Amino acid sequence: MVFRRSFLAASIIGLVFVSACTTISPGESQPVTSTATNSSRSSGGNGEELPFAGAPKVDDPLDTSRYEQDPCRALTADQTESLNLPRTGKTMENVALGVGCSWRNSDTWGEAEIVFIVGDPRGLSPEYESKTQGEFPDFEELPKIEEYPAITRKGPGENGDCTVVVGVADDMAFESNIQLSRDNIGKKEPCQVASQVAGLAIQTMKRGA
Amino acid sequence: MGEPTHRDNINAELSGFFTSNGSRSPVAGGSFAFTEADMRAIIKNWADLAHSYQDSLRNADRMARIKPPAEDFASRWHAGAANRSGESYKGYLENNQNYCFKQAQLFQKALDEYLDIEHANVTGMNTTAPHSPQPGI
Repeated sequence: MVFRRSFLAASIIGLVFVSACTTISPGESQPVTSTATNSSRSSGGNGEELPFAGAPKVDDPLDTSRYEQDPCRALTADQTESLNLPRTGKTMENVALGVGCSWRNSDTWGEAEIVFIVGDPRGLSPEYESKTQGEFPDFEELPKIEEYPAITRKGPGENGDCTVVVGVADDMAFESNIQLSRDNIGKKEPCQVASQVAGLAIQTMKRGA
Repeated sequence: MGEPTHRDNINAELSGFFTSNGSRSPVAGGSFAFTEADMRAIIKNWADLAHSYQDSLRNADRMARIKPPAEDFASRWHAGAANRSGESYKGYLENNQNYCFKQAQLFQKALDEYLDIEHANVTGMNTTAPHSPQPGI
């Protein structure tokens, strides 16, 4: 009986100590902005070292933070005009894991999109991980674009479309998505065009335009 | 639709479905009549729809970057089920994208053929070589 009483007393004292250590601070939770993400990118979100899964290391990372805020600046008006696209792009909505801009010519059906994968700041590593897990059987490593490693997840689509993903840092990748104009389907190689568009975007970002 | 029918309308022949005066008949040959503006609107709608499916497909491909939260049985089972569901979803998006794209192409081809014929009739000259790649994307 003595033992039960002393156990009860110890429990009460313990609870008092625990509650005394707990302080409640008022405040509101805030989402992490992409700028904040940039400054703290030394490893993946789960503490994993980047790169992993065989992804190539990016020796000279490109600071894309400015273009993540406004992805429509990634291609200049002259560049998009040379691609037979509108001079100004439209910010895309509902982009999974990213922010993006689209330039679409509704007459020719030609389109280019630049999407920064800010929602998963692990660069190309998850793409290589997907490859090792066999998720994209047509995964292909492409020649470097402006000295940055690039891949395509599944090669050209049958309608003249392609997605090329470029690792511009160990913790940042962007997509160049293109749809060939209807006159060029079957006459141009979509992934080459997507690589060309990615190269133009990197040139713009290097210049800091 | 008040324009002269032979110059401004495009007839898409659908054998044995409608009679020429619009009444339903399973036997007689007939046609739908579209103006050039109708055709352009239809093409735009199909192309927009294909584009929308394409964006959804790109979103789904990007989501493949996200992996199961842990290696325990429940997480792996859930990830497996989610992946199967994701694959079905991507198949559905791809089929619909292809279907809409092909519809847009069919209507565009019909319009191009009609306009080429009209152009040839009026000017007697060839248009730009249709088989060479165009500049840009």
